[in-house]
Amino acid sequence: MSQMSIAQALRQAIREEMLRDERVYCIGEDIGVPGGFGGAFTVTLGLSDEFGRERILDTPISEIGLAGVAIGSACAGMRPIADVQYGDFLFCMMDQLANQAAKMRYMSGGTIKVPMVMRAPVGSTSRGAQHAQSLEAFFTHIPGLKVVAPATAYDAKGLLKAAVRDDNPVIVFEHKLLYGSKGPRSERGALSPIGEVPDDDYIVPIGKGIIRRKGKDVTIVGKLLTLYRALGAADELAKEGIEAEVIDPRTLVPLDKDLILESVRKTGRLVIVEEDNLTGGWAGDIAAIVAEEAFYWLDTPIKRLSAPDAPAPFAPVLEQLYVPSVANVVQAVKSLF
Amino acid sequence: MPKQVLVPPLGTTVDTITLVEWLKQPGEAVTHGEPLFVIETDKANLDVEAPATGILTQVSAQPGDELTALTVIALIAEEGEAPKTPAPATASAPAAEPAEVQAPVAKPEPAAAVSSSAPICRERVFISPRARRLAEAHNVPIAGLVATGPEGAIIERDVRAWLEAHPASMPAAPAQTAVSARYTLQAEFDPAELLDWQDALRTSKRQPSILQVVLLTALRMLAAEPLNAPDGSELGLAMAELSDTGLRYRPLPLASALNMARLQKVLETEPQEAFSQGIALLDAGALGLDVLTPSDASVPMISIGRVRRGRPAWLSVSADPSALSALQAASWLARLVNLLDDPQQVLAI
Repeated sequence: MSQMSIAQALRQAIREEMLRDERVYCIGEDIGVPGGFGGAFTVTLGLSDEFGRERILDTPISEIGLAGVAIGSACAGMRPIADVQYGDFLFCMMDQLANQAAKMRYMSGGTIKVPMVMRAPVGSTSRGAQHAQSLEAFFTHIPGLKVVAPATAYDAKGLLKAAVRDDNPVIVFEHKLLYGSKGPRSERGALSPIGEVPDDDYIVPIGKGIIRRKGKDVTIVGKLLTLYRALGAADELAKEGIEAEVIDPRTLVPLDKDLILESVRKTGRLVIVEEDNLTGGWAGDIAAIVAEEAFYWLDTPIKRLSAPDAPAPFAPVLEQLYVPSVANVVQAVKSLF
Repeated sequence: MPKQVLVPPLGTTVDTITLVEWLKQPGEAVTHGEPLFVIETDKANLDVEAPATGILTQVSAQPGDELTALTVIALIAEEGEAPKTPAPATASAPAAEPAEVQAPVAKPEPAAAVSSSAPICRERVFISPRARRLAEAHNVPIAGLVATGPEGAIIERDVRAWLEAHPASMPAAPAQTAVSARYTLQAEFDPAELLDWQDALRTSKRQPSILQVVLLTALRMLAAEPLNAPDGSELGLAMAELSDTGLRYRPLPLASALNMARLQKVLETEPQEAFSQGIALLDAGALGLDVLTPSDASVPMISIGRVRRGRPAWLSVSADPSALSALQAASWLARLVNLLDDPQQVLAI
């Protein structure tokens, strides 16, 4: 058991999987260059020294190209872990991901599998609108992709290992403020949660959420950074006698909806916190599921807290207003009492 | 504010009130105390006086209509308040328009102004699905709840507050899986007087069946002397009927002022599959039987046997003690049989 950051936990997971299975390799931009950072957020730092630059494979700056190599090699039997420097660049690969990777297994009647992992950093971190988006909702909408979003070091290692071993394309969304990246790649305002990570081999099953805090008065669902905003709000609310139950879905597709429904049946109130834009977002989908399947247990309207329908601002002051804060969550919960 | 014109209550023996004629027309001025309309009961015609001075408006009953006591059949508006033409019964806006025209004499009675629209446009109650579920599970009257939730809605805690204030309505502990000890009580009565009373209850249109007479008696008695489940909740009555799929039920209104016409209307409604809270009445006589107590019934059952002149008629109660205590059922049944022996007593209830 070691204390480590999410970046370290991911690195350990990649290393263990590459040692376990020689078909596993990493592909991305600047992930293994000598003297480099080990990708944009240090996740692959040092791995090229151990595994060589053929298994920590750097590509030219062409996302559509690296996605094509990753998907094609996966179809051919390799198990690539592709690194997208910023999740925003997933849009460059959209045809490869949405039309090819996601549908290949279905259209081939199961004869072609695409065991590919795509790791994509998300979140607003003073880098401007094209390096700040939270793209989870986009990819939960594409049948054929699995989507995970680990928010702790334990889950980062366990879910990445589960993703590598899954025979379907899995998008792993990682939050820039949660990596705990060091040195020149550290992020201003980062939370960098450090957590206990077992040294031995384990996986966190895809499709299983977790209750991060028990409570009986209101259910708050948050993921990635907003999970911590929800937990912070729960601390504040506890001082006022409101016991919030905080749920981390961990996997977005397939969603552990029973965990959420069961909690709402207990509390009767639901607040969903996300960093995605509001319209057509993930929070709306959770709200719809609960409204459909737990309507008669609801005691108050469902609240969604999301980023506004606007590009992420570059100015740090505006960015503070853009992403739902602990105070926003507290206020939303209190409006239900 | 407009004054409501009500059908007068005429004592418990009058079952049907028929509107004979209006003595004033909509839009006409009326004076407090002058005859406004004529009603017919099974005893006599009666002039009903105007309850206020003003303009007759919103007339919703026509000559020949059968009316229920205390129904609003018109409004008397103050001068300048009435719409020029008789408005449809649901319109509350026309009353507001002239009030705006008369802004200088706006009445300083905001609360009264709200209540004036009550009989026409009932205010919508917002209650959360969770609270409604709880209220329905415990027969909590939603109208009696105080809303404290967001946006003025009734939420779960409001129902719980009501239940705490009314401990008799608290949910019973989960039923023990004890051996069922369903009991059956029987008593006979002499139907002679009842059959005479049935004749006396002859309405202008429909003669009640003897079963309906028994029902009316039982309902009136139940309103005066409620039967309670062991957890304290009040038990209502439903008319049960045997169908191919089992028993079906028509819940009956519980009101001391219930009249035969209203009871007959209820008995024409479509029966429901389920009835969980109360006592079901079964017409054994219709099947040519004197006692019928289905042992698999989930609710207390009262069966009414054949009612024939010159023969004793049978009433029986069968219930599980967890739903209705035998002691309570026995004293109630004895009282009902006593009433049916001498139905004139019903007048005293």
